[in-house]
Amino acid sequence: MDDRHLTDDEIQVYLDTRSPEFADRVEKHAASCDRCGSMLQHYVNLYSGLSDDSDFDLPIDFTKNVIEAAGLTEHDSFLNRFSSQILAATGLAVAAVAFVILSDVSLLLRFISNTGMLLESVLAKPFEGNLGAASGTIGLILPGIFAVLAMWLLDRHVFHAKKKPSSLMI
Amino acid sequence: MSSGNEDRFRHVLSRAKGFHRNDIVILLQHSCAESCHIDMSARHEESVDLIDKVLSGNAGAFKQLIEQYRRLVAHIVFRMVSNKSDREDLAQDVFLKVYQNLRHFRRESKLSTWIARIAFNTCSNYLDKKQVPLFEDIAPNDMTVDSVASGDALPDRNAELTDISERLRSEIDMLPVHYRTIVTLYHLEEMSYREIGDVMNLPEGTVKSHLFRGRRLLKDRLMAKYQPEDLWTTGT
Repeated sequence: MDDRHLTDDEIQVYLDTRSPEFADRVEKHAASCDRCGSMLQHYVNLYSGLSDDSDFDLPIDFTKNVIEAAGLTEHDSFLNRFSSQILAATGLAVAAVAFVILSDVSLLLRFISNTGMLLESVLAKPFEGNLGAASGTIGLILPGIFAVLAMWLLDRHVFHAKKKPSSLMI
Repeated sequence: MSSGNEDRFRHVLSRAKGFHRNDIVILLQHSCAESCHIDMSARHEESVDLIDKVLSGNAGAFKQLIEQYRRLVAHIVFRMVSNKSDREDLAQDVFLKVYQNLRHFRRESKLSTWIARIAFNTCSNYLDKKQVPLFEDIAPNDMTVDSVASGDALPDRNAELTDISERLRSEIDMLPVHYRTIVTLYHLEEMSYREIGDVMNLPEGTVKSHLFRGRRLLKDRLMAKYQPEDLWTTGT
């Protein structure tokens, strides 16, 4: 039997490779030498500890946050998450169209004029004497406004990147 | 050879975890070369397919990529950066850089190596800004059992730590940054010296010597502070 004590490098190479070249000497010597046996035990335990994969946990919503920050979205999560906003925007647009169609257009124009002279001059005057055309135009404008608002909401909550990378150096 | 020592030795070896990379190399050479080769080719094709899907703007594919590599990125970021509050932002930065630069990935190396390099460089830049030395060296013989045991080298910050993994983590955290990164990539990611060298832009020889020196330092510090049975009985 080889009586030389084991070196750190010998033990590490043995544990890294399990090479037969080192195995015979390391195993036999460690079994008969308390000092080297203890050192080997420390190394085996150290290796085991270094392979411990716990405590490296990123938050559960990490992936979702990255995808949002990258300006991407998934179809399912999009529908699930923003269904209420989509529903609200659609509902408002439908209500606006219904309001324009069902209400008396002159009342609508009066309402607009009451809310401000500027609006009246811009919207109502050009259509004086031609309420049918006014009705059609407003019927298009209001849903358009709501559609733009809906798009703005979607853009703000869905497409807008939350965070840009600080540096692109790789 | 006493039977007590033999038993103890068998017990020690039985606690070593599974196969290591080199065992797999031997398996590749001797027993399952063909099937493993097919498996690796399939993985490569899978990776190429995933990259193409991400490049075409497929959010689901990018999600899959993140899920596949978040552990790798966490290993590097958590080991290199001590400040817990900055870790998530850095990991997020890494994946945003991956997404924005994926079209420049030349596909000569493994995707995991490329992502690991981005993670390493991102953390290096962060540490640079914080003026944390990255390549601080340790003299190979400065931290032997004797010097640690004499109390000259380090204060015993582990005295109050009772959990084994906490003790080891505390010791790892005291290693210079590039030592603990090498140890992590080798033991948790099972990367070769060459792959680690590619990630950290270091020669293979330097990687190997730092790995051996880092592990020896850890072992010396643990041996100086604890008996094996005190340290490991309730753990592994």
